[in-house]
Amino acid sequence: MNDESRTTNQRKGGLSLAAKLNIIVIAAILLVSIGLLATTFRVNGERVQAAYQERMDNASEIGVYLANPEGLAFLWECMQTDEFARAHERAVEANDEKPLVDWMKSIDASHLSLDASDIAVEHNQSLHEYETLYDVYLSHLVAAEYVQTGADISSAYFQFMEGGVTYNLMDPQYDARVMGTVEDQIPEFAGYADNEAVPPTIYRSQYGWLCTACTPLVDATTGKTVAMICFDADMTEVEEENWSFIMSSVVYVLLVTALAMVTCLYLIRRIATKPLQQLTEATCNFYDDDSNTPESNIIELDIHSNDEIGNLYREIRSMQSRIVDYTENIARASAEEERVKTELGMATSIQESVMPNIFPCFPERMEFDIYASMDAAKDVGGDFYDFFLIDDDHLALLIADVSGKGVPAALFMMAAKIMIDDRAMAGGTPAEILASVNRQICSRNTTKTFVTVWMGILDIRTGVVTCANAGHNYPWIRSADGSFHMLKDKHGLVVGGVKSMKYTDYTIDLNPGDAIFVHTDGVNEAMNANKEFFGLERLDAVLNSRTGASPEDIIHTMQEQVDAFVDGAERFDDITMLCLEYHGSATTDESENSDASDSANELTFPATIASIPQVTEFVEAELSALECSTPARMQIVVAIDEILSNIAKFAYDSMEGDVTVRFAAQEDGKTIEVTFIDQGIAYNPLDTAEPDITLGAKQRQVGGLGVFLVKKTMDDVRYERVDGKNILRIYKRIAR
Amino acid sequence: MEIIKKLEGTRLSVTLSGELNTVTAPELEANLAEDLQTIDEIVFDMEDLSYITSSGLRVLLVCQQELEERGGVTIRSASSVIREVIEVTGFDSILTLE
Repeated sequence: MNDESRTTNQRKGGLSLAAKLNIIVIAAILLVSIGLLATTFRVNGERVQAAYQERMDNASEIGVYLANPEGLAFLWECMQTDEFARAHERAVEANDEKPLVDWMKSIDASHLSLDASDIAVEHNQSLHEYETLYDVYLSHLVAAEYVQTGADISSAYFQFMEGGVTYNLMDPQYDARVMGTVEDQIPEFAGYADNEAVPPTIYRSQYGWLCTACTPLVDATTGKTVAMICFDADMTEVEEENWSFIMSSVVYVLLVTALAMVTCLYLIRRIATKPLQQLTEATCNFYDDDSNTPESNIIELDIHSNDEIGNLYREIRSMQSRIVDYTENIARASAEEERVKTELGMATSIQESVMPNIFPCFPERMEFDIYASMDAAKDVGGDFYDFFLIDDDHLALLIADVSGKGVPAALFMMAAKIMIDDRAMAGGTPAEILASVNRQICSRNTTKTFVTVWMGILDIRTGVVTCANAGHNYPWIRSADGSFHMLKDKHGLVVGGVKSMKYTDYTIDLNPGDAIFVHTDGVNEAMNANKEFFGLERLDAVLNSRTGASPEDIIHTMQEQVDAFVDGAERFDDITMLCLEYHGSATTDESENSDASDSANELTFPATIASIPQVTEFVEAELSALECSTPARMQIVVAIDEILSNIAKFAYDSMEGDVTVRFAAQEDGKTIEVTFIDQGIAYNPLDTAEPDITLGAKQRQVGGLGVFLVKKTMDDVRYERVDGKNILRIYKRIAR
Repeated sequence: MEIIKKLEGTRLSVTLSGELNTVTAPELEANLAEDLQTIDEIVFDMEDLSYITSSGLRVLLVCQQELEERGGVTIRSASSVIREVIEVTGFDSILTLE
């Protein structure tokens, strides 16, 4: 893997693990901090509120205790008089309290009783009784001041409400001057009835941001509310107090939060994200194709924890080393496989080379035509065929099938073939040969491999084939009527079975045109995808599908049919076939003497193009004496043209020369032979490579086409070089 | 061999009588040399032709090579012997046999 694919494994876009974790931690810590702060503020708020409530309650308690409701009721009575009104007017005008003080001093208050709660006046007077109204006023003034300091509030003062209007009775802040109507009405108090108790209420007014509470004073004797004592607390103080508390809380919480965040982030990084990043990077580095020592790429990190990350690291490590091992094993196995394949390939070639596979095999022997093929199921097979001339008059042919397939069968096949060939060359009948080979094989058959063999020896002069069959498929014979029939010959046991086995010979008489076809199991037991066998019926049908086909055609057709039948399904068995066609022994006397047999005529011409018409005339004249079909005549004329052209162009180079043309007919007048003899440079037209007839017009060559035509249209073409002469013979069956 | 030519636009009909062999082939080739430059296709009527040799095939090949892109060579009414020659040599995939 190269860098490109390495990075594409790591997704782009989206947040990294570190970022995700950090965000979660930060969010959590922030949430907690905010929660903490909120709680703190609420608690603080409640605390402050409670404190103020307590103060007001204190103030109220002290005030109620110290106030004298009887005195206040009397004060109120006196404030209803005209004298008060006049005194108040004068005081306001003069902006001086003296008129009011004088007025109060002028009123006798001795009828009022003091109780224990009445406070001693601080003006160096101990008060035993009220003398004047002014004493009442003063004592309440002092009481108010006492409340202020005792309860720690901004101010306390006495008021009375009547008909929704509030009147100041006494206020230490403002002294006697202010006795009278309170001008402004506070909206927050609007909902309360006259002299109703007011809980601590926070509001803003011309006097500032205050918290005010009012407690009614009740005259014990009459049960009537005579006045209210009111308490103000300055909220700005409260506010400042609160604010400084908030600030210090926030700072404190922020510090703690910051510290917590940093610690958490650091820890997360150390425990999770950094190791994970290291793991990721190190895992990427594992895939380095260029490395010669893959082991060196195995991940090596400083991770020792026992948690999931540690486990992951250890797992990756172990997996990587398993991969390295596995890869090495595969490489070794592949190399081994390659080696085996190469050797099998060579084995296939060796096998192919020991079976005759160049056709035509005996081109100079006109008496028979033989063709064979072996198609192995695996690289090497266990089937084989062979044919060879034991001597000039005897042709041995055989086909065999070794049990099993592949290399073991191939090895056995090689040995068996050599033994049979050897033994056959020493003479004897097929039965004798097979018996001898069988003894040899049985004496050393540790693997209990056996081979079926069909063997025949053809007496070329007579056409009699002596045969023996060792457990092999029945041969097929084509005889007089031109169709193939299966011959149920006598079967001996397979070779390699029983050492003492005796085989029996039988004979087949072949007439010219007859043929023998032998095959192995692979043909009739070829299976298609539906698990059907090709079968002997199909084999029969294919053999008999054409009449007069040559061995090569028969075998090629059979191959095509089997291939078509199998149609791509797996092959299980080797497919081997051999076919022999007997033509009869040569009857024409192939003599080159010009005074040869009386069935021959010969003329000599100059080897030029211009001679072609004359040669043609000569041959056509000869043909007219016989019964020659027109197609055959045309083909012979073409052959003459082609052969003479070649001789004229090439035989004598640029010099002059002759060509002798000899015409001979067979005894039955059905086959003719034309011989061309020239004394030019050695030239065998049969050596010319066949033109590739599949090429298109632009690539086609014309060279070699003439000889090709001759070979294709004539029944046989033979060449020999004798005494410095090129002798070319063509044979054609002219009967219709 | 007799050669009768008839030109219809860019199509040349050639009727051959006799034999097309090593002797007569050069004559046919020379005869058609000029025409091949101007025509697009050529039709050989071989009804009266008794046989054809490789020299004759050579002339046909020369015609086909020249006319391949423009139209090509067509053979008409060839005897079975001539047909066999054309098929056996693979010329039936180069020319059109009617």
